[in-house]
Amino acid sequence: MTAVASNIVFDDIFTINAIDKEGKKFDRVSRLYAHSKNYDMDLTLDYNVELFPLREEQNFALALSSSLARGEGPANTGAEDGGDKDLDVWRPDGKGRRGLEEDYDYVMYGKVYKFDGGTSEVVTAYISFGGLLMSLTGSFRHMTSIVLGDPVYLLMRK
Amino acid sequence: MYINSELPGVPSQPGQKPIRGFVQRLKGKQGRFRGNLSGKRVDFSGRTVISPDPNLRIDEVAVPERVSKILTYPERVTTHNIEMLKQAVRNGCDVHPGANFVARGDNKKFLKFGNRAAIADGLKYGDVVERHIIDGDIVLFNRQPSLHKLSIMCHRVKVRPWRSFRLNECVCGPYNADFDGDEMNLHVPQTEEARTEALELMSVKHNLVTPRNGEPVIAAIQDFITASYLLSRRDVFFDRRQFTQICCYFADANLQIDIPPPTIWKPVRLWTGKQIFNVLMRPNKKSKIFVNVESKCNKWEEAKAENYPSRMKLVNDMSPNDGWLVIVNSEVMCGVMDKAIVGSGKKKSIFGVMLRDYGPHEAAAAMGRLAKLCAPNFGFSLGINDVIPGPILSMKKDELVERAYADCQDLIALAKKGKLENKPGCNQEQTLEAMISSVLSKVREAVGNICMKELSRHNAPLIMATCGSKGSVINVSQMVACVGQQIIAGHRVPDGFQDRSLPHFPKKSKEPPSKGFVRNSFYSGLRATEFLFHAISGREGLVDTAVKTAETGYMQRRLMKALEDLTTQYDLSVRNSTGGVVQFTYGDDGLDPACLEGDAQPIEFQRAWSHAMAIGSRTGRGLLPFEIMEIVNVQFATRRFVETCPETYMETVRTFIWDNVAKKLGDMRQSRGMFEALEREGEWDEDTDLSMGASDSEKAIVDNKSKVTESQLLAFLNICWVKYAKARIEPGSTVGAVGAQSIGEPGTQMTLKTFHFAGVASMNVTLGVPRIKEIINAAKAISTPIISCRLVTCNSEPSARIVKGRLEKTLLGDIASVLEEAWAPEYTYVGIIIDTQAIMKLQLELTLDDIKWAIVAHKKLKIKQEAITMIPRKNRLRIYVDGQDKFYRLREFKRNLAAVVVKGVPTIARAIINIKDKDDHRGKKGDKELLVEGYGLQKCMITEGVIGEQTTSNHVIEVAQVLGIEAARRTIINEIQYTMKSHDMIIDPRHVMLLGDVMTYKGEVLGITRFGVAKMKDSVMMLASFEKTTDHLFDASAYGKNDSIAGVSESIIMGNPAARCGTSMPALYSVAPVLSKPRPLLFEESI
Repeated sequence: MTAVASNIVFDDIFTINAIDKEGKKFDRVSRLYAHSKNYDMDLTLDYNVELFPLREEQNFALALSSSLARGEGPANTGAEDGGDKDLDVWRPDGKGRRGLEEDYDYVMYGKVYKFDGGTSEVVTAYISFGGLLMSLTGSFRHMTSIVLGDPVYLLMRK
Repeated sequence: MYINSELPGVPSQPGQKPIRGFVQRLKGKQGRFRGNLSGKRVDFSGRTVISPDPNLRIDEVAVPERVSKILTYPERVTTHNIEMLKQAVRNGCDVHPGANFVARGDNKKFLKFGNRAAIADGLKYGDVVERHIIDGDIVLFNRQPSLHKLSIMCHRVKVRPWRSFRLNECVCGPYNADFDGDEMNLHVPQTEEARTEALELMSVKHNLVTPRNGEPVIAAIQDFITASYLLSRRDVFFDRRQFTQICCYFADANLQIDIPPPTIWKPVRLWTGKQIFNVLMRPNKKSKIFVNVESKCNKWEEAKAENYPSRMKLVNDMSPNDGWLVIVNSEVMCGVMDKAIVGSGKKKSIFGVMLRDYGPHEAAAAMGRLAKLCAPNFGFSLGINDVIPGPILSMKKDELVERAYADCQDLIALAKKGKLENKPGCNQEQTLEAMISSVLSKVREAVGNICMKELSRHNAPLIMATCGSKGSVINVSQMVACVGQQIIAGHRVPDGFQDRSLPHFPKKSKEPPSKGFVRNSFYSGLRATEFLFHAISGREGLVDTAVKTAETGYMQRRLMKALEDLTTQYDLSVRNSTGGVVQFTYGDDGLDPACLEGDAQPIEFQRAWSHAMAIGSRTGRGLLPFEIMEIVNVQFATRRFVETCPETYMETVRTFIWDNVAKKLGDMRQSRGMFEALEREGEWDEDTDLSMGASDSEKAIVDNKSKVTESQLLAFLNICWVKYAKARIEPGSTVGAVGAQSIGEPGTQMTLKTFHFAGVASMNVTLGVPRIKEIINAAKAISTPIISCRLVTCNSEPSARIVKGRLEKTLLGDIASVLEEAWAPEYTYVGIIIDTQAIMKLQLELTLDDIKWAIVAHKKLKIKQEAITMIPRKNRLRIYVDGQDKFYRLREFKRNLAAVVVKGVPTIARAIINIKDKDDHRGKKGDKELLVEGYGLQKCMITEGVIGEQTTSNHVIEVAQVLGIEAARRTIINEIQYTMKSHDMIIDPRHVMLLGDVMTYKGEVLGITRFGVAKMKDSVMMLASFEKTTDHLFDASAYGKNDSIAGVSESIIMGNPAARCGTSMPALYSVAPVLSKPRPLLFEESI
């Protein structure tokens, strides 16, 4: 509702505080802990270290988007088959609205599956990208467009 | 001699073959009753070795072709099968889809010889062809010992080459089968009715859960679990080729598979391992399988709060080792697929959830897919490298062991000086043993933890231990680091030589190595002494299992005989075959334990709610709290709810919705500055804004957190109804047999653990098979009778001691400082000087008078009260003796007086003050209670300082005598449940209740023994087939008894279908036919 013209539901620049604080448990996946200055958000994210190596203290831009189409309104207002078409855009020959990913280095697709409220002001959203978890904590005012149960794209660049 | 060749006193003639008398023919396992009447040899059965085949569906069994040519099914020729049967007849006996006989009426033709083509051409409708069994036929598959109903199940045939029966490994669980040479039996039902009944009642698919407690027993095992775990870990990625290849593995070629979008789009498209499981659960978009579950995995590491932002409320999902499973609409959000998720024994495993929500066929299909997926994919092997400890590990382990040795030395030194503080109820030696044992067991635990930490993530045994597929942390650390203390009969290794275990050690040594501590690992190799200790302990285990199988087998048989004829009737009461009511409603609520989803509850609300939230549509207006409650009430008023569910159930649902949904939503609204809307306002309609002008973002967050739409709510209520309707027990259910099996079968799995501390060291309670045996035998003398008493003042130690003094028996010898003889010309007496100091110290309430009467009351001594004089000033008692034999009397008194009980209850061995370690209905944690070892519940209850109402005993018979039959029933139930729980075995309370009722419904406590069963049952036939065959038969013939053939055993013996249970219960009732007057017999007059 803040940015009606775009599919991007959340956008900010984060600084990594730490990586794998609880010990390295997996070979190819690490968990990063980051904080953003703009919106004062906390983030934990599991990411593939082989594809997207990151260091501590590094900055990166992170965006969450409901569709990969540039501009234009929300894509998921359509009927069932509209959603289906949207799911097929990953295919090499897939038709559909794409383009947003070209601006980023690392893109994942997943689902918002849980909302959890701490105090009344601070909210945490949990998103799972095929088992890679992301938690985003901060004021609920910045997360109004993130809707429970919706598919979501994670876009990152250094 | 002809009647009974085992007459006592008649010696058997050597050289002569002993005669088998009539009694011997009838008696025993091989006798007429048990060998030929209750169980018979049958046709159409086969037996061979079993082997695994993951490519079979779970309800299939591969039958070797040569077996399939012998087993036949008589199929009637119809329009539909005539071509197939003609071909079968042409093929004859030796070619597989053939036939062995053709029958028309009574005329049966063998197809080995003769003109088969002619017979085939002459085949007519109505003929019966005994054809070979073919794919899809229905057979029964069984493995001994058949301890529960899941030991014989119905499979579908798959005819395959070679010589073994093959089954999917998932089905090993209920049969308790492995492939080290096990053999199994196969039976072919010969009629359509038998086939249908088998398919509906005994099919593998309908037996995925055990009726013992409703947990799945057919599920992935061993390698399937390992493979699932490896595949679903967080760092498993596949490109499209690999992903589609794996998806192809798990399906048959006829299944449409839709590939989900990849998780990582850029820089390369990658799918994660968890997505494979999404596809496995829901292969294509048309599939309606939406699994929703949240559960703990086998090993769950909790995320530490300090590692995460402080304002974030940490949820279980963030577990660093991915140990918390969340599945939303068949999409795995997080968590690994390990024992707890794909294995047996958890109601919240994905198969358990699929079974409850989408029926057995879907669950079975998914399990089949998992088996096929796990079969060809991953190589997994274990080598010597996996058990070599790293330098850090060996160092740390040595350090730990050395420190433990030093600690033990210190303890031993302390004990030698007698400076060890005794534990309650223990002497110095026992205290030392207990402390050393605890030190040493801590070592093993610590070493195990180091192993888990230091070994590589790719270590095969470690992977197996973490995902629960095989072995445990202890097994890993035994191979890698340290074998640990060897226990024999619950203690450290005892002395086999004089004062020492082996001559390798100094005498009276109590050091860990000489008492059976093995510091080496299986990798480093055991020392000679260590090896011997390990062998001793290993042998003990073997002997124990051997003894136990015999014992539990007999127990199972008795239980079965006592409960076999109990069935639910159409009014849901449980009655025996003669119509005696055992329970008015089965299990007090008429629910089937096999269909219960929650913990002895028909539904697990939390999960059902999240499932309803996920499957219901989220679009549309969110309901206001009062609307939610209104919809609930409207639904509950509908006919289907009113007719099926009792008020109590609806009330629990209503409470759940109010607490977890409506109230929460209201609170949420209030905290965002909106109307709570818990009550309907007068002038409300669709358009009234109750948000009080809250901002859009606030509305969004309330929605995100707690929006409930009408469709979601209705979905939830529907689930509530369906679950309850499904969980009701069916009339005709053989609840008795199932209950007996549910209690008997776990007995075989009980491990060595026979003893257990009841809070205090040295206060042991018998557990395991011996204890179960005591309970169901209704034994008069049990090995550890314990009465636990709640105290009036439960927080003060001194008052507890006073009560203890009142209960515990005190002997005269304990409080008398001097027992003296006095001889004088005029008189002789025994003088007793009472030590008042001791009485004070023991806090006894005892006067000289009490002591006098105690002595008088002592039966053996026969002292008259006139003989005793008291001298209160000096605390003395004198017992004067006079008469002829006064010398001997005097000596006798002096000898026996010390053993006179002056205070307390003689039957009580001792009492111990126990401090509760957790809260329960009888008090809070930290409260003092009194544990009394021995008999005498009544005495304990009336003792001052004890709350009589909350005093319990574990002795069933005593409870029955003191408190009555209902209390005895309760005690039976509680004690069985307690014993089972301490072995980590969960049994539905309904089964135990039924057993308790059977043992008590006659008004006295009847054990499940030959005497008890004889009192419960009237049928001679049933008793004869149980025990003491001939005694019952002689009795019956002498008294001219008759048998109504109403029970299960009798029906089987007579060859009838089991009466009044299961499918033989429904019957047509018609007016009895009018019988004409019997024709007079020809020679009637002559009689």
